[in-house]
Amino acid sequence: MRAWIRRSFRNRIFVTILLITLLPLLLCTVVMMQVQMQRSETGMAEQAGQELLRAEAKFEGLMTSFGDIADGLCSNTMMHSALRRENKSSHVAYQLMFRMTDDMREYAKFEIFDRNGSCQYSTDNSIPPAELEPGWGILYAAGNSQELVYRSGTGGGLVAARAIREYSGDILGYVVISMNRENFDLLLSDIYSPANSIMVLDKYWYPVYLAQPVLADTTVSVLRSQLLANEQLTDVTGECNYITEYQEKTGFTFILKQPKVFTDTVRDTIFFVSTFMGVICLALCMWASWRLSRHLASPVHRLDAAMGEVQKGNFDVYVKSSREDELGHLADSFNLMAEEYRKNLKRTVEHQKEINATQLRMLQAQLNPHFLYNTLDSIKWMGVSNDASRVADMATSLAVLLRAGISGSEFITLSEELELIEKYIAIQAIRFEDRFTYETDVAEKYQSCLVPKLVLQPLVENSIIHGISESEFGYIKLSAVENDGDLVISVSDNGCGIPEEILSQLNDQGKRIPGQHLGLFNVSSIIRLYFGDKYGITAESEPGNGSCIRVRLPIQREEKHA
Amino acid sequence: MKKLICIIGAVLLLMGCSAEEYGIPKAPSEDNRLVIYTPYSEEVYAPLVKEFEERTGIWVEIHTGSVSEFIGRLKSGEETCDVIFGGTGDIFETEAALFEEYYVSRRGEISPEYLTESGIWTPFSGNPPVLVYNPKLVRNNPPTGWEDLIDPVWSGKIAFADPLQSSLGYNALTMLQQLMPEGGQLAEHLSENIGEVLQDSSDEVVKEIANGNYYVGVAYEETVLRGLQKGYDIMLVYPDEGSFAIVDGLAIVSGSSHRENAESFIEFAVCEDVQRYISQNLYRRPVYGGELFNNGGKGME
Repeated sequence: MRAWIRRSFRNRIFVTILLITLLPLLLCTVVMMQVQMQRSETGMAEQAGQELLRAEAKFEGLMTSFGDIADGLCSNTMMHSALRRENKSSHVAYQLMFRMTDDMREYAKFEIFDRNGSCQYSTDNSIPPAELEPGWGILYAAGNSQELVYRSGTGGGLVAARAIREYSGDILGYVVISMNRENFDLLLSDIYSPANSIMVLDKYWYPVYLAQPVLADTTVSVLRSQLLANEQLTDVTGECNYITEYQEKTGFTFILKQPKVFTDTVRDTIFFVSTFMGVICLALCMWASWRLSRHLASPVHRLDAAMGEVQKGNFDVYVKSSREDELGHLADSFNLMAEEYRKNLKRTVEHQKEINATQLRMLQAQLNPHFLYNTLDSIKWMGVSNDASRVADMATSLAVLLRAGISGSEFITLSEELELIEKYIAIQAIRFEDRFTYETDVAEKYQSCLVPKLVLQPLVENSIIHGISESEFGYIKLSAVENDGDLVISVSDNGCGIPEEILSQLNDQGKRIPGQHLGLFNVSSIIRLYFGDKYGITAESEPGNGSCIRVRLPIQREEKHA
Repeated sequence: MKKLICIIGAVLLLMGCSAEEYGIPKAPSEDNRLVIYTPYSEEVYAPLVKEFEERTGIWVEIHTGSVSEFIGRLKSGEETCDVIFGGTGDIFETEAALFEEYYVSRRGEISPEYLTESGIWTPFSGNPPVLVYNPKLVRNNPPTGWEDLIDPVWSGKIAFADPLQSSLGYNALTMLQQLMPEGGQLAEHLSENIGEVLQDSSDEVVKEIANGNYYVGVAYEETVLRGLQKGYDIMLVYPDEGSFAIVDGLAIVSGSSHRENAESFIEFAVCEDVQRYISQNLYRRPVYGGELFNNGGKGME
């Protein structure tokens, strides 16, 4: 990954832009979501807590009132005597009861039981009087206590009782206060919001009041098991929270059931949607960053590519740029630089060509003695006038050679070259007193080939001087063949051969050694300058066994002018 | 770069931990708990358990189901409890190894016919099988004793609990075999007379009689009395030959983690208040041999 970023300026930009666009976006979304959900839930929990406390407070207030009523009834002497008399329907007792329970009767039913558990007086006579067992349940508990005791009734509801005692402590009867569903509904309505529902459980978590009786049995027993198992209270669907509050006075527990704001399904949906949006965002950001990075980096990229071309040696590059900023300047500078380089190169090449041409001319100037030609002419005429014909021949031959050397074009036909060679041979034959023979073997078709003038003369000279100067029966042969599309002219002799080091120097075209072999080197140089390194001189020789020097030239024919 | 990722990760994590603590209410401590297994229905156990809780402050966890199945699970270690509340004495005695001895303090006052030598289990209540019939279907010559069960007159009209499925059936059959002169051949005669179809429980017998599907049946006294109280149109007959009370009891499971509480419960179960309560309200015979109270005299012959 790192390497990928380092590799390209564009990739760097891409990654940077991607991170800049993506990270804050993600961070914001996640943080916002979490904060929001947190706050909602906290808010709801607080509200639920408040409601529960209110309900509990109201209930406690009611219990206090019950306590006061029970107090009043228990300490009332008229009540005592009514119970002692054990006859029902004491008006006085009824009046007393009704007076004391004046504003409480909508919240509960108040009854007085005698010591045997028969109901003597009741504030609600629509229901036939019940019998309770003094040795069991609420009456038993009341009998064992000096105060109001609280229980859940059978099948729900609240029942509270207090024993009415003589001063001696004997039980005369019992005050029993019962609350049913309707009483609780009345008490606790409007305390909590309709979405929630409240439950009141007794000390051992049996139901006293359930606002929603529908699921009564299962809900409460499930909660009880969860309590005993020390688990957190949850409902089956997982969509509600339970908040509990313990009521000190009665030992009851109040539970508020509140639907969760963010149920698991809701959370899942939120999560799913955010992930989906996140993925889309990611795709968009990537696309945008990619495009942007390419756009920013493209001029740099083009410049870089152009530089690459230049490195390879291709100076023909031009970076197009219509920008006016730094990158535009760079492109312009680059173009100027490339232009300069190209011009420079051209100049150098031109310069080099001029040098070559000059050198060529200088080489040929060595073969251009005007003065000698005139002098030779004079010699020839002196020979003729003194009847020395051989002097005249020699001088004439030399003159022809010199003339050829001075004037005319750079190139002559092979037939003309061969004529010149014959003049040269003629001169050397006189010098060397016929110690050698010379032969040519050049086909008709080659006769019209163009060759640089006097290119073969040094070869023949070399053969004469170095090859056969020591022997009596020298033999020189000049032949021409076609090889590889080129003209190869060979001058071979049966002389003493060419020594090893000179041979190798000849064949190695690079070297140039002044001195005795200047001529061959000149030939080689001229040919290579004219035609290129493919052409030139090669030599074969075995010391003591003759040598053969070959000249390779391209085949050029004379152009016939009209 | 790494540091940045760590910081972001930490922040997100903190956000993620939304504190969902709503305050777990105080659960009772282990000392104050008791686990009871019972085959009784809720009508029977609930008031007793509730009273026990209120009087002692011990929280009771109830599991219900068949005793024999539970004993299987107890043996294999899948499940355990402190007290088995209900179930006939012989079940406890057969599996004596699973239970601990306990001699309840009022043992001396218990009627001898309810007690056995073994201290493995403590009797709780007695429940004799009786005859029951539907008065609308049986107008003349109602059954008077066990002999009527093999009388061909009632063939195919008898509701009887399956001895293989129900303790009533099993105990009733054993009892009949002891009480009646036919002895060993009784079973054959009975099954001929009763036919293929058998009921699952005492409750079902009473219901079938009340619905008029059968004329006559054998059920627990308790079930019949409860049915009468609910207003079923049935009649109870105490058979001439007499009847044995089938005794249910309690036993402490050995290795129980709430031994003391278990003992308290057993003491409670045989205390006077409870025994009076079960005889008055649950139509079971108390172990002190007292008469049944408060049957209202209805439907008895």
